[in-house]
This record gives sequence, structure tokens and C-alpha cells, in this order.
Amino acid sequence: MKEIRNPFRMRTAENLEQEQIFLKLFGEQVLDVLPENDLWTKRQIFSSAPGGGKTSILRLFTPSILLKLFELKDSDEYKNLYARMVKLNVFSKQGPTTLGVFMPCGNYASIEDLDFNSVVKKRLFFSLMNARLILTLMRGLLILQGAQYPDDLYKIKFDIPVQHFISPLIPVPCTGDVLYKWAYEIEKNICEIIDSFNNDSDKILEGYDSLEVLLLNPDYISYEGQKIVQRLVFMFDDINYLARQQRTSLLKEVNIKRPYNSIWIAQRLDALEPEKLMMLQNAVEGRDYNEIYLEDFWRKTTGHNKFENILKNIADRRISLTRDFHMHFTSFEQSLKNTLDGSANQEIFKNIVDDISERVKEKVNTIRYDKWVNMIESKQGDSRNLAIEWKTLEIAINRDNNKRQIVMDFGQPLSEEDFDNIDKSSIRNAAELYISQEFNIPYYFGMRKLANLSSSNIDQFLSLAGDLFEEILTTRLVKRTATLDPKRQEAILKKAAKKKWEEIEKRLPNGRNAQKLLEAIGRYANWYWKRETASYGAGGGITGFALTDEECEKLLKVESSASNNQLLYILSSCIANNLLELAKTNQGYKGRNVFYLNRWLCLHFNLPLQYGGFKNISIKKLNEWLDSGFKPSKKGGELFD
Amino acid sequence: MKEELAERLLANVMQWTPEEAKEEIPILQAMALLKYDEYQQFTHGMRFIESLACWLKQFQEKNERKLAYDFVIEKLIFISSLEINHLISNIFPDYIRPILIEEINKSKAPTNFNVVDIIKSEDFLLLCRKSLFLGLSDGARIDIFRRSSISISNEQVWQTYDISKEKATDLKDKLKKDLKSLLSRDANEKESKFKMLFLIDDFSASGISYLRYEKNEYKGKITKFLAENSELRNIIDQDDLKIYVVLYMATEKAKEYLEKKIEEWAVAIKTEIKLSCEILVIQLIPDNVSLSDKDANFIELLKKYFDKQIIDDHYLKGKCEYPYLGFDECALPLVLTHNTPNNSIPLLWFDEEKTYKGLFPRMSRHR
Repeated sequence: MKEIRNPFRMRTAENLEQEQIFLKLFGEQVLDVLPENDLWTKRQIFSSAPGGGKTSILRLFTPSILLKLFELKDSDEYKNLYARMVKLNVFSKQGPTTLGVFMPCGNYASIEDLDFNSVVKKRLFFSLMNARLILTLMRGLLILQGAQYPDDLYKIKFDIPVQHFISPLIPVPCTGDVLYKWAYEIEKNICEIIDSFNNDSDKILEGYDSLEVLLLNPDYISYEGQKIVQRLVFMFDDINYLARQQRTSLLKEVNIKRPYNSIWIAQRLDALEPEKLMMLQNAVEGRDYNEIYLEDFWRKTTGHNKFENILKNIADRRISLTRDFHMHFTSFEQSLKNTLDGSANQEIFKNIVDDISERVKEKVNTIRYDKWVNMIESKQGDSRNLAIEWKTLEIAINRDNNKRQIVMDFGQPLSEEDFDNIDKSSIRNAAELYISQEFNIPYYFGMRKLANLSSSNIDQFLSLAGDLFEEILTTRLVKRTATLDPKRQEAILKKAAKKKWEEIEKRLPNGRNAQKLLEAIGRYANWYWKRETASYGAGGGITGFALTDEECEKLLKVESSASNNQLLYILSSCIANNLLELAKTNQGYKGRNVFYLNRWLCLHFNLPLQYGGFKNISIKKLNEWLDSGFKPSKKGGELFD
Repeated sequence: MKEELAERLLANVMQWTPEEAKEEIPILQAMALLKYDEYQQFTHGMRFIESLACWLKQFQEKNERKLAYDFVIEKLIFISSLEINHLISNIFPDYIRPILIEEINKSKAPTNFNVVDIIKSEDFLLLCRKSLFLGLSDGARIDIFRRSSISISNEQVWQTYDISKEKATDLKDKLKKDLKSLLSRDANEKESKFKMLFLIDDFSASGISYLRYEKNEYKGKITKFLAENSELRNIIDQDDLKIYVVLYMATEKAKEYLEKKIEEWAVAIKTEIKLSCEILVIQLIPDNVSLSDKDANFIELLKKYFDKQIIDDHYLKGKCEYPYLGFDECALPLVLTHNTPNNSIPLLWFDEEKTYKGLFPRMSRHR
């Protein structure tokens, strides 16, 4: 296999043509998204932002990949993946039992531009789809047999009883070459119609009003008299490229058909209607299909740092493709220095301890906090931890000052227990970031932060990791060491975030307004952050906003105002492109929809990466922000939004 | 040389930090992969990155190396084989065929805009067949031209203008045969002559090698094929010959020079052959591509790192006051995939026998 310079730049699944490279890069834990129980009996609909990994999952089940995996099943590199696939009943001892019929949906939308009525257009769409499904199916069958396409088609037999097919137009029972000719003619005729300037309705072929091919039963398909596969799975990829009417027809068709075979559908989130986007949630009991939102799945994945481990695995697989990998790398994670140890840094932190402690003592002019100060002062340990302790104390004091009623202070100091009762994990997390910002210490570095920054999107991770790896390569060239220090990691990630920010305007429809809204949210969150009370979420800061269920309903109303419609459009566009991550919460007693900034936006706005921090915002306020940006205002001496 | 070693050498020579190397190396690798590695005059084991590292290493000062590196990134023009092949494949359908159509059109009155009619006409088919396509050098890639020009016959294409008697006879015989088929009768002697002559070559920067007035006579590639003893004279229509000199690439300077010189030459030769001659340049290279006063610092570098061994009789045929600017002082930053023209700056093309190294060493035609 050719060695590659920066394997993180190898994307996407559609372009990774060599089966072995594809398998090498495929982390088997990604298969966790597949439901265990009804994988083959229910329809699966995979939705994600671009780069979520949908196509990779589908491609894994295509015949050439399955064959290659079967060939490599005893190799250490691939045996885990093979074992997972065996568990999914994809393989028997003899080989693949499942044939994935992969159907990219990028080439059908032009049918909607033809000057025909909708019935004819639907017929053309289904006819072409039927033809291509059959051709792909037969090609896949021959691949599994190691036969030649199309020369060996005559060896395939479709012994399907006539009564099993609704349409008499499909010439079964027959051999593969007959069916090939049938499909070929249909495809050719339809392509001629699409390419023609004429609108000759006489030439419209007899059409198919449904996807008959989905009803093909693999029990009746044989090669040289032997049954080939137990199961067919028809996989429609990127249905977001279909015209809206085509998409509706396809989804309706697979719903009505209830075919014998499995149906998987992959779509980008931007194919969903705004109403659907605003209500994203995973599988609902009682449905005959599963909707799997990939980013949402990974976000909610239980198990300590599971997604992080998946990303580590993916990264290590990638770097194994670089030249001289074994000489220079052990793992990607180890190439990212993730501590600020070292005597130079210790000295810096010692100075920070002095600065903060002095400031805290100056600030504190009552005995209220004496015990807290003494407690921290008596602590021992390395300078970095001590700095965090002092900063934590400073934040706790700020918080206490903001919260407390003006009471008669009889000179009673707060106890150590009072300090312990504070939720310090979020304050400590915040303390780290505050220190880094005040004293120019790197914060966004290391594998864990990188995993957080990926916001549950594999492609996003690869993009950021690719930038880091590029410098790891040149560091190795120039300095002969293959580790990247924290300062450089942060600088590279910030530059990447800035570039992504600048691209929003170009890449999103209504991109400028989307950017405006995100900027307002970011500045709002930053304004709260600067209060240094660390009152929100696991990181101590706001990284999103919430709309109540009532506000959402207002937004989704058909008779909503123009400004609300625009806001809805922008919000759904941001969700579809993973700029905003939607999560439902029932905090308190009200249902709320929380829109978190993508974590790379948090990096861009110098915010913490932890979730949990958000504030309720009204639609009116969001529209104001969209109009004129975020402006903090003063009322009665208090700042409020 | 191993890729990593070459990159390390380059980073060391340029004294890049890892951040700087990260910005530059991917671009260089991409360009090397896209074009530069295919340069046909690299020695064994040498590719672009290695050549660049060795080239930059010879400059003594760091700022000189930076200057030279910036020249490569910002100014260098490399014409790849894909690009040349693309040019060649466009010539007949997009340039020559319209000329032939226009020739027929001019002879008809009133002017006919119905191109389909013209193409189907006997006159057009005859004119097509009576066109002869000759290569002026290997760079003309007549093989590619022939294969991409499906409307013309192999019997009207030849890779050189220096035609033997046997070949001339063969060309004429084949012409007669095809004319008989088109006319449904035997063509007479006058009819059996080529009326359009297309002389094809790849590149000209000064035009001097094609036509010049030297020692009281016109010399150059264009005149050679029509020399008095040339066999070609016997198969062309000497009373009404149209010549097109087709250059895949040429500078503005070369085009202007040749247009002027051809006019003079056509007048000089008219007592022998009545002809008209035009220059057809497919890809014009504008004059502002050449180094100028704006590149004063780099030009100082060219002056400093110059080996005058390259000055020979042929070199002296062009302007030579500032020989470090290349033949005829063209000062081009141009490299062709099969060789670097000597009109480009010598620092680009010095061969390994010279004091200084060229980035894309040249194989000289003139020895």
C-alpha cells in the first residue's frame, strides 16, 4: 500500500477506493450506532451533518468490502472488525451472507426539471431507480462469486415466481443477462429523455409506479444453481440530493412496500424539514423504523470517554499509513503533548500563584473568607495545581459576593465545609481556562480537548487532527522529535477555527446571517464568562441558549412572522451543518430545547468546552441579535441581557 | 533521494521553523506531484524537491535563498505534458478548421454563415485534403496532433519539414488518389498540389530561430523547407500558397517579431513563390511574464550566479548585453516538461557541467 504524507487528509468514504485502505481506516466501534435487535427487520435512517460517517457505515456492507474483510479476517488488524460483523450475521464460515446494494442518489434530481407532469416524472424516477438497483445488485452478486461483469451474468438465475412480482414489465423468471438488457435499455432511454431538448411524450416508456426491485427475494436468486446470499440490504445514500418530491416519494415507497429485504437510508440533516430538525431525537418505540442521528448518538454515548476512544482508534489507524510510521510514531495521542510539566512552566505557575493569591487577599476585606484563604494557603503541591486552587477560591468568592444578601455581618467567617459544599468541579474547570486566558497559558491542547472539539463529528475531528498532524510531520523533519507542544497545538487549532469561521459565510445558505447570529451568541456567552462566577454548566460558562417548548412552537407555526421564519431557517441551517448542537432537557419542570455552540465555536470565542451551561433566550431576543448583534445593557446597576 | 530526506534538506537549507515548513512543504509536494516531478531532464533519483534543495543550497546568503525560493513560488511557469497535450488536441477543431471554413467562405459570395453547408461542401473537403501539416521539431508532437485531428488523413501529416524525394512523391501520389475519390475523376497536375501548409512547432520566445535576416539572406526553420532544392517545392502550389506557422506557445515578443519578419520575407520571395504567411499562436505568453525592473533584486542574483560558459555562437545570435537573462535577453521564468528553453533565465537551466546548478537542467540542442 502506498504511503501517504498526511493520512488525515484522505476523505471521504466515497473517495477511498481501495478496499484495504477503507478497512484499515474503519474503526469497528463506529458500528455501535447500529441497533442490536432490529437491524435487519426495521428500516434504518441515518442522519448527520456532513462528515458524520454515514456513507462509511453503508460502504462497509458493499460486496467488495465484505469480500476483502473476509479475506483478511485472520489478520490482527482486521479481526475485531470481522468479529463485529459476524455478530451482526453478515458472515458465515463460507463468506458474506449479506449483500449491500449501494445506491447513491446524486443523479436523479434533473428528472424534476423535465417538462412533464408529476406522475410521469415519478414514473421516470422509479424506472431509473429500479434499473440501477438491478444493475448494482447483479454486479454485487458477481463480485461475491469472483465472476466477471457483465460476461458471467448469464450464470445468475432469477427464479422468481411470476406471482411474486406486481409488475409484469420485469421479465422474471430469467437469467441475469436478460435482466441486464432490460435494465440497460431503461437506463439508456431515460438518460436520452433527460438529455433531449424535445419533450416527446410518445417516447415515454411504460413506467413503473413503484420500486419493484425492493421486493426481490434472495432465496430465488442463484449463481450456477447455488443460492448466493441470505439477505439483501438496499442502501440509499445521500437522499438529500434528491429533489424534495423524489425524496418524499422514495420514503413513502419504502414505508408502504414493507419489503422482505432490509432498507437503509442515509441523509444529511439539511434534507430534513426545519420542524424535524428542531425536534431531533433518536429511536421512538413502536415505529417500524429507526432514526439514528449520528452526532446525537455519540454525544449521548455512555461510558467514560467512549467517543474519545473511537477517535483515538481512528487517528492511530490513519497514522499507520504514513511513511516510516513504525520508526517515528507510537500513537497519535502521544504525539500531542498534553501536560504543562517542566521546570519552565513550573516557574510560570509559581508566579501565577503569587499573583492570584496576592489579588485574593487584597480583595478580601472582611473575615468572611479567612478560613477559606487559610485553607488554600496551607495546601502543598505542584505550582499548577496550586494556581488552580487559588483561582477556584477567587471564583468562589466572586460567586458568594454576587449571591449573598446584604446581611448583618457579625464577623463570622465561612467554614471549610461551606467551601467543600460548593460545586467545585465546574469552578475548577473554569479556573483552568481563566488562568490560561489571563496569563497566556495554553488551554486547548491534548487528545481529550481535541476529541471535545470534534463535537461528535468524525470529519470535524479529522480536519483538526489533520492540521495538527501536518505540523507534527514538519516538527519531526526540523527538530527530529514527533511531539507537538501545547502552545503550538492551541495556535494551530485557533487558526483552524478562525478559518472555519470565515467559511461560514460562503458555505451556508444565508451564511452571513447565520454568522451574525452565532457571533451574537458567542459574544453573549463571553460576556457572561467575564463575570468569573463560573455559574453555568460543567465548564462554568454558557456555551449555548435554550428555547422553551412554547417558544419553539411559536417559531414553527405556519403563520409565523417573516422574521421568525428567517430565524427558523437560520437555526435549522446551523443545526444541519453542525454549527449548533440541539439537545432536549427537562431541567426544572419545563421542557427546553438547548442549542449548544459547536465546540470549535467555543474555541473561537474562548469559551469552555464542557456542556451544561445555557440560558433561556426568547425568540424576540434572538431576532434582535440577528438584526443588530448582541449588546449588553445596564439597568439599575445590574447588567442583564 | 528519499522524500523525507529531501524535505529535511530543504527545511535545513531554508532554516525553516516547523510552522514555516508546515505552510510550505504541502504546497511544494502538491506542485511536485501535479507537475514538477515529470520534468524529463532530471537525472536518475532526482525529483523536484531534491533539485530545489540542491539549487537553493548553492546560494551563499539566507536572503538570497529566500529570494530564489520566492521566485519559484510566485513566478515560475511550468507547462506540463497534460497541458501541452490539451493545447495540441484543441488545435485542429478550434483553430485550423475555422481557418479552412473561412477560406471557403471567402471564395463564395454572398458570405455564407451556414457552417454546416460549408463543411459538407466538396470545396471544403478538397481544401482539407490539400492541406499539409509538417512538424518543425520534435516538440511539435505531431503524433498527438495527428491522433486528435480525426478529420485529416495520415497522408497529409509528417513529422519534419525536411522531406526526401521519395516521401514527397508518396505524399503527392496519395493526394492524387484521394482527390480522384472526392472528384470522381483524375485530378490534373495543377489540382494535385497542396494549397495550405501548416508548419507546427511547440514554442518560441524570440522568433529568431524561425526567421532572421543574416549575412544578406533569410535564414531559419521557415525558410529551410522552401529552399530552392527542397522537394517540398514540387508538391505545393507555388502560385497560390497559404502558410500558417502554428505555435503552441509563443511570447508576444516572438509573435510581433515573426509577423514583421514574415511580411518582409514574403515580399522577398514572391518572385519565386506567391505565398501568404501568417502566425497562429495558440497560447500567447504575455510580455509581462518576463522578469523586469520590478525584479531588480532577483536579477542581481542572476548576475552573481552566472556561468558564462553558456555563451556560444548560437547564444550570440540573440541580444547578449545581459546574458544572464537568457537567450535574446528574454528573461523568461518558463519551463517546459520536456526541456527548459534557453530563453528562460540560465539559473533555471544550467546543466551539471556548469559552475552553478540549474533547478530544471537543460539538454541543449546545439552542441
